[in-house]
Amino acid sequence: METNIQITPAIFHILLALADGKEKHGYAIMQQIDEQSNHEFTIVPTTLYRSAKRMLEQGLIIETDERPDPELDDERRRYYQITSLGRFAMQTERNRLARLVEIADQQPLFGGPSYETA
Amino acid sequence: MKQPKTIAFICMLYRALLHLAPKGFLDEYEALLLSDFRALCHKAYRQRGPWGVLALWPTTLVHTARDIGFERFDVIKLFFTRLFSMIIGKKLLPYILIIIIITTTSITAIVNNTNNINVIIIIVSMVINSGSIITGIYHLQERRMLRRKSVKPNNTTK
Repeated sequence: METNIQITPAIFHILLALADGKEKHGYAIMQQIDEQSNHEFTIVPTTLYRSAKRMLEQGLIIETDERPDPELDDERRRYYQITSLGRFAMQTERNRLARLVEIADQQPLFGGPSYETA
Repeated sequence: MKQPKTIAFICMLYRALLHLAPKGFLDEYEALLLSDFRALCHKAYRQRGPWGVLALWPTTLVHTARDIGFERFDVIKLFFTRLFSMIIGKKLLPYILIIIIITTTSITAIVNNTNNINVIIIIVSMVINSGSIITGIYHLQERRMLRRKSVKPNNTTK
């Protein structure tokens, strides 16, 4: 089964941040991305919410109403959770990237067999 | 709690930058964007002081400007999508094609006869006339549709 959803690096990182199934708000997602990418991938709030908007439209994530503790939490915050379609899209993208790495590994530059016959 | 001046200044810049975004996007996300950016600034301040907050700005500026550009592009794309669907839905495509043909012909004529003012006058009047013809046809079609709608309920009662 193939999906027509275009997974950008930002969307893939957001999906990875939500992969544990827990609901997270925007700032927590940004922190998780920063942590999981060893500070190599920067996501700014506008990128996060633009991607979240698209992901909501495509059904990759849902917005949840549950909040941990209203007194401890900013009520304006929105919490997001991954859907089964989101998991599937993430798995598909992971497989695509793995295939890409396999192709790269076959090149002489990355230690693969040389195609030079002459 | 009073926030450091660096954070207040950077947040003010960020807010000004956000106001370049389309209104719909701002209405929905402005408060969230500002609160998350402020939280990022506070974290940077705790870790590296005022320089940490300032170091946050170049990346934020570039990425935010890019996102605002894309968001504006999406709005324009949506406008043209609606415009084209309206043109096709109202069956105005043949008339639009006539306008395009007339305009192309006029440009060609202008290029070939740059000194002939009569040709320009004729072409301009042709364009204006075709515009008024199309508007007339459009209104006629709308009237027909309205008539059909007003006739339909009487038919159904019979």
